[in-house]
Amino acid sequence: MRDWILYKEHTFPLIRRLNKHFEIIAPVEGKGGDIVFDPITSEHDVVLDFTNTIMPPKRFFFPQFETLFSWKGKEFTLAPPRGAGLTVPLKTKRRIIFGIRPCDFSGILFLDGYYALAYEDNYYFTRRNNTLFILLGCNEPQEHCFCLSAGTGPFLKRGFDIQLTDLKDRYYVQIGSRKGKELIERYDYFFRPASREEKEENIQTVREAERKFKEEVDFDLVAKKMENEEVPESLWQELAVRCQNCGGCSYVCPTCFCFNLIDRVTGKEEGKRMRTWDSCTFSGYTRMAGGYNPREEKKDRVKRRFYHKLVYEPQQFGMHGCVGCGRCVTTCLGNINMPRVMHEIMK
Amino acid sequence: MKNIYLPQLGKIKRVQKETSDVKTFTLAPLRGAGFTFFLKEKIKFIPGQFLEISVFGTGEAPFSISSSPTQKDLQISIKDVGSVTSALHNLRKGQVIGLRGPFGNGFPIKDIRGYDILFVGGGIGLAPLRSLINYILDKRKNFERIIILYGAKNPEELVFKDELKGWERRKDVELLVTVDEGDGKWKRNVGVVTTLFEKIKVNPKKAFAFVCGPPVMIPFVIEGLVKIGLKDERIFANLERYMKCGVGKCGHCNIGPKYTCLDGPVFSYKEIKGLSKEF
Repeated sequence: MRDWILYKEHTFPLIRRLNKHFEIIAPVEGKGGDIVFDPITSEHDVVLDFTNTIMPPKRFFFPQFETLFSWKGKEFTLAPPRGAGLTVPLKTKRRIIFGIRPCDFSGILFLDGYYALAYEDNYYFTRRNNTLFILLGCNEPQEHCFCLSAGTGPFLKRGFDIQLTDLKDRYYVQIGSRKGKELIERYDYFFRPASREEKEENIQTVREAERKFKEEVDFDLVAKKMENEEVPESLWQELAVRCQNCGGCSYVCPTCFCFNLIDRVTGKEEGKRMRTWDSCTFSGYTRMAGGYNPREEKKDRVKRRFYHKLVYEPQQFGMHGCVGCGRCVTTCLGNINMPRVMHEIMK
Repeated sequence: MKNIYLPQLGKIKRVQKETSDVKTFTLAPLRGAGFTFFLKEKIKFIPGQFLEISVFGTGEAPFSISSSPTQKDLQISIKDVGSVTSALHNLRKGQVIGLRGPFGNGFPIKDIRGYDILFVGGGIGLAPLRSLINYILDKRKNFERIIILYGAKNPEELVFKDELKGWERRKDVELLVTVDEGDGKWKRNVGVVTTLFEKIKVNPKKAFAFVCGPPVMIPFVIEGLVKIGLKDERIFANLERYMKCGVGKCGHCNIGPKYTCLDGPVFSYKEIKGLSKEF
């Protein structure tokens, strides 16, 4: 497909125009000064010189708290009147996620695969299918980034709707889907076709970015060693001592999908079923009624977490459960983090 | 797209007390003739499959279906051990529940025709086996010997007492019951369920075995069955995990690369062996 150029001075006008028809979710400066993904009120909110947001935009598809359905009615649980039923509040707007990094978008591609296994998760896909993704590739990977090793960045070759590469005063614009093509066609007056020189400039920019990575890990080697049980139990034991059961690694992870289902009573004969994020590092995660807990030991939970992401998920549907965003590196209180564990295993 | 988390409404049609803390609930749709779910027909299931039952305001939990698909009633048999089970125990006839399912693989009913079938159950673990036992008894001529080994802590904790008597009276069923601790009136075997193995003769070439009971029991029973000479792929066990969503999404029931709710809850010993030491 043909590539395009968007001048930087046209970016905000483009966002303003898009915002008339779409809800735009983009990196903005939060109250504490952190860069976070949020719906914008004006194009001037958008921050595009950021490394990455503190949280991936996962919550716009899989919210941290979500009502699945609610019930209400006189004597609902005793003798609900005819017509009384469960109400599903799921509504979505057409949305654009602007400026998502390739690693985080790869997390979305991972969730697409997972939430479609066996049964489609209608809550996830209702939002997902209404969203268009405009990626912003990474010219400057950070200290803890290892998307190059994970095959999820710093630029993607496919899967996206639109991907932007920063060429100083311009963005190089690549189209990856029909949805992306239609958007560019509709707003074609903001773009012009890329020249052959610009195409070359884009390739050079990608190559330069790839050379800047400090962190390098070998996913295949690690998975092989884990499958062959060549990892000493003492490693998991040592990690278990460091794990504080806080669940932070799961909450910041673009691919973590586990959830809990809970009921909240909101009044007499009135309540809702909610789903909330959960984490496999919590001790109650596998505990059953009656108290039996197959992963009572912290060591088993930590081990499980890494086996799931590095061995089982690639076996199940061919994708690592890690996109190399590096968030768990900065989040973990006990300094357990993906690249560190992988280096230990690679030794 | 179907809403996989939305239960359909049902009601408690009948409550049967089994022991001091086990009740069997017969479920019926709130209105209309039958439950429907993913299939656009009356709820049909395979023995060994499970339902997600909601008590609105308390929560949802997975329960094996304890009745047979060859019977009219849809039943679950529940021990009062946690919050949802306790809320269920407090429900009376006519009260509303939510229901999703049936989920899971169920027992391999197509593969076992023409074989001897050996059941080994412990405590409330007889509930899913009962579904298959009654299914087989309703199609009795398709099967050879039926042997049921059942154990409970004490005589009071034996579930389905009336049905046990019925099975015992049948000439085409071999039933052996044991308790860990007898009382004054108990005249049968005392000891864990594996002590019944020496009292039966099984031709391992002709048999399939189905095991369900407390997690501590299962490895011992499997060990006994392997000793008798049963092949790994002919031994099946129901694994217990908290299958919160039932549809392979929430993550809680995973064992190795498998999801108990999708790939199980019935696993052959051959599969379980490959699932690391986690089971």
